Amino acid sequence: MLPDYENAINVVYKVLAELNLQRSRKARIDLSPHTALFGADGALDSLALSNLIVLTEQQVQEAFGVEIDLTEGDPFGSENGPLRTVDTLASHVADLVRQQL
Amino acid sequence: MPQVSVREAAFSDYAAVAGLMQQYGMEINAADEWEHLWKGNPVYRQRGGNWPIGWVLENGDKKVVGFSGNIPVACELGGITLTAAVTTGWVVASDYRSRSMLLASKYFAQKDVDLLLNTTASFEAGQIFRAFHAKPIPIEGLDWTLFWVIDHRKFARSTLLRKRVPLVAILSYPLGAASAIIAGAKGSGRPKGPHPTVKTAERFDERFDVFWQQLREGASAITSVRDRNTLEWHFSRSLKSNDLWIYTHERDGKLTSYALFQRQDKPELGLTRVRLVDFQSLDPDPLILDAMVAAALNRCHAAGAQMLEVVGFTGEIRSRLERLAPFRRKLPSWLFYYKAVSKELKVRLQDSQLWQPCGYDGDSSL
Repeated sequence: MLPDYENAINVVYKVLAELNLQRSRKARIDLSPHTALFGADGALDSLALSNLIVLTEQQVQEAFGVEIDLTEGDPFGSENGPLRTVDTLASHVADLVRQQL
Repeated sequence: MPQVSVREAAFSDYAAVAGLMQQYGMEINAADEWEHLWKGNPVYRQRGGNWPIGWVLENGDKKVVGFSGNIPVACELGGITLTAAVTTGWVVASDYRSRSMLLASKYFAQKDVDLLLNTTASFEAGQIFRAFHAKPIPIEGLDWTLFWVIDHRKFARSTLLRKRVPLVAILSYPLGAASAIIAGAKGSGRPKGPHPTVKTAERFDERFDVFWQQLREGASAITSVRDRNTLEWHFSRSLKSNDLWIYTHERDGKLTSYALFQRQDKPELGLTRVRLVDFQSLDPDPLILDAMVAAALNRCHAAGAQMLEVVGFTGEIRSRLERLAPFRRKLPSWLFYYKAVSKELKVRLQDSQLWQPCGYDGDSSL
């Protein structure tokens, strides 16, 4: 699979769909690039964010065959970090995968 | 969701942090004791205070709504001294829980450390640690404690309170009696037979420095530093309140073994408890540990403690304690997580033989 944005966002959608299985209908996360994951409008609590990170890294390994670390550096150091929205996460995943290949 | 920001904590944050911890039912040290965690800490002093004591979350009104403490601890592995950053006193106001990741992110982004360590992880903290690629310390059974019941009825009462069972006062009688019968059937858990002579000590004296030198020379596992200075800092609060029981065994005037038992009550449950937080021995005689446990059990009885409990330990010490203790319980979460910073240390620490965690490691007995 090519490490492009489209494939990366599909990986993120797959993970969010899995997380949604454990959430009430009202609390389900919208599968849209604009969905805020973390920060002032973030949809996820710290447990859900932890699961998102772990599952995304697993899915990336399956989809692209590389290991990435979404927590490297200080990803939550500011509220404008790479895990802010579905869109920024997908871009970050695509960048990290490209660096690994 | 309100805006928040994260910054390095300062000693002047004490009142705000203490207020927050109190609000969420957490135990908080007095201001001087809290500062002593760093200002009296041998590693912090050695670094000239060049160490983040933790981080705080602030809301838009600059009110502190979260805190995580960061304590430096020295340990040794293969003759090399490592610095571990121990996370402690983690609290975030309920409206801001989703922002706990800001604190975790700062903690895990530390560069000037060898090891990141959590020995008191809740379920939630454990999940966050896993997300940041921390690993559970690779030893089976660390989520089971071993214990002796000294006062069966009072212990039953606090257990019922913990489980929020109604009619506590009435039910504590039959449950206490049942617990006493089980303990009787399994044996009292009190070591039998003639034991080596153990003595009590009121403080850590120069013998502990000599002992530490010998212990570190023979150590094959990662070992938290236990020189006299570090022990005095670590247990300063317990020593001041007479909540630390030190048992020693000597041969030819030299310390061969010591055990540390610490009072760790849970007043909100009416639970009075003593825990074995450290046992180190240069002498392979297993009866020394038996003798120290027997002495502590007697003292628990006199001190009104309802139970004596053991968390952690591995190998022969754990096996010995499992044979002695009549009860065991599963903890609500895995307590021990670590993350090595260097690749080399990551690989080395996957070896379970290199770990001997106990209540002395991390912050559980600070």
